[in-house]
Amino acid sequence: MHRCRQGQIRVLEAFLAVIVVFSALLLSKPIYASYDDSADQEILYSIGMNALMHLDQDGDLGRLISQRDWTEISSRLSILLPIGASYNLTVYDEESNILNDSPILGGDLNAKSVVSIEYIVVDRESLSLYTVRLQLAWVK
Amino acid sequence: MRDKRGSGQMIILAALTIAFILLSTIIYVYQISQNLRPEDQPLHLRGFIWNVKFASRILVMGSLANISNGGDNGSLRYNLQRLRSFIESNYHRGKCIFSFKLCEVSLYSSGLRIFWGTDGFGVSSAKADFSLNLADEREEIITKYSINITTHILISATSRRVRIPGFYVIRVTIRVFNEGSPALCKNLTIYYTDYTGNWREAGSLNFYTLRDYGNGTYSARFLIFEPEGVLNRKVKVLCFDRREIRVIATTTCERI
Repeated sequence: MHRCRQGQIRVLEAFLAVIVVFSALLLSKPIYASYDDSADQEILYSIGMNALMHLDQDGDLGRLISQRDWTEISSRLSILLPIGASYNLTVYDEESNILNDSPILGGDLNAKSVVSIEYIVVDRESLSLYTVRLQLAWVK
Repeated sequence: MRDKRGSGQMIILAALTIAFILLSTIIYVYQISQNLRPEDQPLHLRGFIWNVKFASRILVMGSLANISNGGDNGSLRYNLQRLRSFIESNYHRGKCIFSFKLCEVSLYSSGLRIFWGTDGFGVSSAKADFSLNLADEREEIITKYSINITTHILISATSRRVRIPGFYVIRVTIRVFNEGSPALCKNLTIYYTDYTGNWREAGSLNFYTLRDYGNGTYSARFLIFEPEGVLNRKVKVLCFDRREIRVIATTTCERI
């Protein structure tokens, strides 16, 4: 009888231990998920910012915007961004009017997390000021 | 009895230790996740600050190119004022104050130094100090930086009489610099004075060669015919660097 009771206590202890371990896992999962998500967004932001910096080397982006060469901007972005990243670029002028009459995009932006990067551009020749908004996401 | 009580205490102690380890792990993971929240990331700030620095550099460069090509000297201030209001209105994460001060030290006036000398030295330069203040409810970041865009050239020329009477070989050496470092130029035009004192373009002569050493040094050689001979012949070099900034320098030929 005494041994049987001891056995029951051991089983109860084991159950308690399992509950403790699983609750710890359950508690840490959303935290890990948010960490994972933020790291993902950070990587996307870095990729986007680097792509814009490269695109704007020697003031090239400003020149392409002034020439309204959306096709060239789109093809350069497609080269600079990694495979698996979809994007949508919108160009605004000094009065916040959208300049690109045709969409500058690659892939589908219908993802869980989309990163938006705003970047100020100066055209060295005309000295016009623009803002570009690059939205980036990983393709599902 | 004493043994059983002791083993119970050990179990409680072990359970407490495990609970403590689990709790501290959870707290540690939570703290890391808090630090890595996108809104807390300095990456956005760093990106914005880099973007502002680059945009102001391009604007100063473009303004100097414009001014050195005959544009209004006041356009540098005007363009920077435009950039200031543009940057301030395009920052949405808090308060943004962008300010600039054009260099007024020694050789500079309103941030500009354009000196196209007659002793073989010519310079086109723009210099300004900037301050970017970004603030939200938690913190304030102040970034100060200077932008100096300078193109200068150094030229020297020699004139040598050849065996055929009335013919002279002119050699011109040009060195181009961007911010003090050797730089390539986009276009070079060389002029010389004839016996009447008028400027003539050397590039239109039949015997004209321009050599590019690829390290910011250029050497031109041309043959001119002047039976009368010219004392103190002058040579002028008009240079456009790769940023479209114009610089002119004049020198007197050394007779050898």
